Amino acid sequence: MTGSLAATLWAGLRSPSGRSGGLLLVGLLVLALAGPRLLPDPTGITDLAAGASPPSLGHPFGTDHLSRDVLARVATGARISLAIAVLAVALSLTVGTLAGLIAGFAGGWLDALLMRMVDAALAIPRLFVLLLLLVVWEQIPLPALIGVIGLTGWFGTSRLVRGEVLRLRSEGYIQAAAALGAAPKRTIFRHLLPNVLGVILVSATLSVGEVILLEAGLSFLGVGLQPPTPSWGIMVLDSRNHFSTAPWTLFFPGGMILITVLAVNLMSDALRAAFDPRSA
Amino acid sequence: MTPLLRVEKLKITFPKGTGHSVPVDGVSFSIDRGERVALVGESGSGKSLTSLALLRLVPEPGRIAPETSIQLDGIDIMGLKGEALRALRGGRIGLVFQDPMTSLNPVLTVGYQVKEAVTAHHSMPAGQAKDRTIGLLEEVGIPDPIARYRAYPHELSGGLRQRVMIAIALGGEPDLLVADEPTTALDVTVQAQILELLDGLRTKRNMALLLITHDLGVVAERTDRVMVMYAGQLVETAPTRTLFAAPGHPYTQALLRSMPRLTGPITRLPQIMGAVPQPYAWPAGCRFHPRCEHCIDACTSQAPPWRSAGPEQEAKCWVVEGRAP
Repeated sequence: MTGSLAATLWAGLRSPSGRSGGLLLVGLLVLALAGPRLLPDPTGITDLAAGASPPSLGHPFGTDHLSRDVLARVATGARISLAIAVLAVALSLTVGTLAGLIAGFAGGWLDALLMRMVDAALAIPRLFVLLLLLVVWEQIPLPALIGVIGLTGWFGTSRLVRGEVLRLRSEGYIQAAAALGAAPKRTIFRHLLPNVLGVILVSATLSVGEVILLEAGLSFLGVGLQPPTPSWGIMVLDSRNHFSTAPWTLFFPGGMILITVLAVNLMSDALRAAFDPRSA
Repeated sequence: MTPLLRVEKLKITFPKGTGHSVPVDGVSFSIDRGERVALVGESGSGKSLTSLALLRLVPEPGRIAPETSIQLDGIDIMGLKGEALRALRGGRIGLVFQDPMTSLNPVLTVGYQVKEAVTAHHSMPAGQAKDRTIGLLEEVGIPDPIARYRAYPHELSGGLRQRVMIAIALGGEPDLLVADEPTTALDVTVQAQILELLDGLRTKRNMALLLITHDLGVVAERTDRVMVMYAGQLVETAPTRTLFAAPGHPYTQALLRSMPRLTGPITRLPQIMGAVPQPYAWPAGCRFHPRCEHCIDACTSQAPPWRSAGPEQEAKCWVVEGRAP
């Protein structure tokens, strides 16, 4: 993976799991980008008296209890849910990885300070922290919500990365780098980071599904995004009173969350293999 | 001629309980330009720590005591900090690690790792760095260096990996190459090749070589001078030939006796009774006295002085004189 990051990524994408994961992700992106332009207004009430109708030619995913087109809502929700998932996870991974690398490599008081902070943060349930932040912030804008979710999600990642760094630090090649006169920055980013990438990717995979559901939970509690904004989480929660009579209102947004998590799983599997030359 | 490296009173301490353990205690030696010196000793004698101290890489929480002086070519290594210390590591002193299986980064190509060593101390355009890297791979005897440039460590055999480690150590054009048990992890046939390579490189580049080993067979053929270390101290220093012909210190004698021989009657191999003492409880007097067959009263209470045991041969022993040639 020296120099040619692009070549490594390409190799990852061409593997079987990379292809299927990539295909699913492209599908999701097309849905998110093109869907809302082509489909009816997701907030549009077509025929309130008709209520929920099952999937048909006119409404391939059916309509919900307010007679809104589920496909249109799923497509608009894709934008919101994917944005939250990708950006919040990217943010928490970046912060968590940096904190873990620094704590693990530096050791001593800096490690102790960072990790005690993480301990304290992990001791408080994430939902509780978010609730505290969000009650003071009515009608939170999407970028702020992403920031808040991202910045409360990095503690576990930093723990994982730090543990891995502690293990790697005693490896011969990290000591050899010191004997060669490598500066700490080079040792951290050139020698340690590629070796902890596997752990980071696993952490990312787990986080994506978690974050989509977290957003849904927050919205459900009335502090996240508000209806009629159609995030997948909100749709799943909205359907709770109707799923015995209109199961498609639960099935389609739930299925989208499932497909997203699956796609991310496949991709991270492919990337982990591509970044580890021993499995090539 | 002033020596390339001069180490005086090297003392390394580790905190232990309320006191200290002192795995290296008052080691002094010097190495000339282009000289081949071996440092031999059993496990736990402090030879690896001594080599790490030359680069100021003694692992935490170990400390080099303040009375220690290490001079390389007029530079006071003990006074170096930050950038200057990094320039020393790899730039003036190259270190070849013991285990080529774990000392190469598994996720980076061989070429990248050698190139990193080349550019760490001399900045140069990318193309030139690559050419020099391939040149180095060729110099250390790696067949098809252009293809191997892109290989990952796991694709190479142990011997080739050790050659890569040597190329990395040479990358900064050091004046002194320290090889810490460079052949321990390798097959016997490959060991000989690596030693021959190290010796050839030393001659070609006029580098000094400090070979750290517990294998006297390695020492015999490829060094000019031997320093014997026991329990954190040097106990004998002699030209290699002299050491094997007429070892001065009883410890060296016992070590040589315990080597299997191809000639003479087959008898039970003599051994040195007991084990190396622990660094927090060195014996008083001569540290070898509890295991020594020639122990006299003075040995048990007073540390022995350096005594001449022959031409250019000195041993730290009270009784050495009687048997010196």
